[in-house]
Amino acid sequence: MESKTVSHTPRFIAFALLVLVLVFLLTGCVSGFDRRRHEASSVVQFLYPGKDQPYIQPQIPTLRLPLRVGVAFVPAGAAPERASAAPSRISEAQKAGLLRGIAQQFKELPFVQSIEIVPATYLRPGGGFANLDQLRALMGIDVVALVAYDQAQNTGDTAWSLAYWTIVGAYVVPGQKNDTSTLLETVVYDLSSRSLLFRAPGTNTTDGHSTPIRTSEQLRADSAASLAAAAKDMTANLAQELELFKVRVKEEPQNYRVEHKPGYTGGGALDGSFAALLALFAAAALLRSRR
Amino acid sequence: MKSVRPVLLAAAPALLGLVPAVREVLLYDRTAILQGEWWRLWTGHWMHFTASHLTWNLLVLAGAGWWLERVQPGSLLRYLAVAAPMLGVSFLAGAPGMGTYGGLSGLATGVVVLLALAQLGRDRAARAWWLGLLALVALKLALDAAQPAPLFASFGAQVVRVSTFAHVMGAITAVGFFLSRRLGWRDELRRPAAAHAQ
Repeated sequence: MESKTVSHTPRFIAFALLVLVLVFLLTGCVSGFDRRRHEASSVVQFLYPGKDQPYIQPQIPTLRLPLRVGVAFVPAGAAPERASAAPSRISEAQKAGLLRGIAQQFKELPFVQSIEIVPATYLRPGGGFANLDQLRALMGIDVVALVAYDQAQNTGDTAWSLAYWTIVGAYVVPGQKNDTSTLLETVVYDLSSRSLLFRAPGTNTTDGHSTPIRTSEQLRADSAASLAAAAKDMTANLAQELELFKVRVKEEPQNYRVEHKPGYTGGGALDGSFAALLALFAAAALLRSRR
Repeated sequence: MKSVRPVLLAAAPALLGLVPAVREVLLYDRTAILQGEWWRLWTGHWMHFTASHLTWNLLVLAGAGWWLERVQPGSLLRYLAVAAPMLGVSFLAGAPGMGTYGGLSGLATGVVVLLALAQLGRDRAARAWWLGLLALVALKLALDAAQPAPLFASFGAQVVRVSTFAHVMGAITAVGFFLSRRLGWRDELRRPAAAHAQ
């Protein structure tokens, strides 16, 4: 009998190639999304876009009550950078919702006459105070609240990512660690004096895990959630800063001048403490007369 | 009961002032007054922007007014009828920037001052008490006037500046009213005496 010897070499090579292709494909899948993402808009870049920009000396703000306030999102970056940047994860609807929340807080102040939400198209990247002066002329606002944000997202492999080699693992094992850090800031400027009245920050850090297949989707969700949490934090800080601002205006007349616009409404009002003092006085006088 | 009736008459119209439609027609409005709606010089004081704004003013006016009526019957309504338009005219002349005004505090301050002045002449034993009350009112007026920044008041949706000027004018009208009455009494006392002498 003649024994046939079959060579296994070609099969082995074919199998090795197949594994290699799968590894490459899998690696491609795994690393096919952004591992780092950074998106920001800056008040400083917006107000002082060029290095040769002359320093603007702020004056003592004169607040002419009641105030008309504008609320706006600072446009991100300078124009050429923005064109090449990836599309923003923060939608216009999210920004509008945030501005409405800030506007609501200002509405509750007794010395604020009106709040205008400034449309995104009214501010140019790097527009500076010249752009704000245009807004002042166009919308008749006295004070502007500029909202800026900075969001960074990182994603990395954990030890569980070894499971991706099984292909099925890439679909079911959440081996990606995602971090999202968000900083929101509202900066309030008096337009005529170009001076900073106050600022209120809000921060949030969100951590999570996802499968590599769902990482992009998860990062988008984390971005929205982190923005909402930072907005909540900023809202609380803003309320606190507004209260402090009211106190500062009263207690630091050297730093804030206050005038009233003609046609204001006057109120004849006696406060509770004065009424109580009078009541005490009356009671004491009555007691004395009965003796 | 006699001292309560004038107080009710003085205070009750203020409740109407909380109705926005009524307030629209009766509020002190500089432009409307200059166009001939002179009744606003009287009625503006009884208009208020919120219930809390009304409450404190009304408490002081009713308390001091009741006491004043017991000391000098008939004084409360007479004072209010004379002082209300005087305050309104003083706003026209002295606060040209104030477009609209509402609130009884100017008149209430005046009633407190009038009560103290009336008691000073009547009860000599308690003079220090009533001088103390006058000093308290003067101190409040001085503190309000010295306030560098205007008070921010929450009167509902209305942006309102608390008017210290109204309080000062209320006190001045009370002093004027008191002096005019004293002079009037003296004249009345002199007239029968002179007639008797003749």
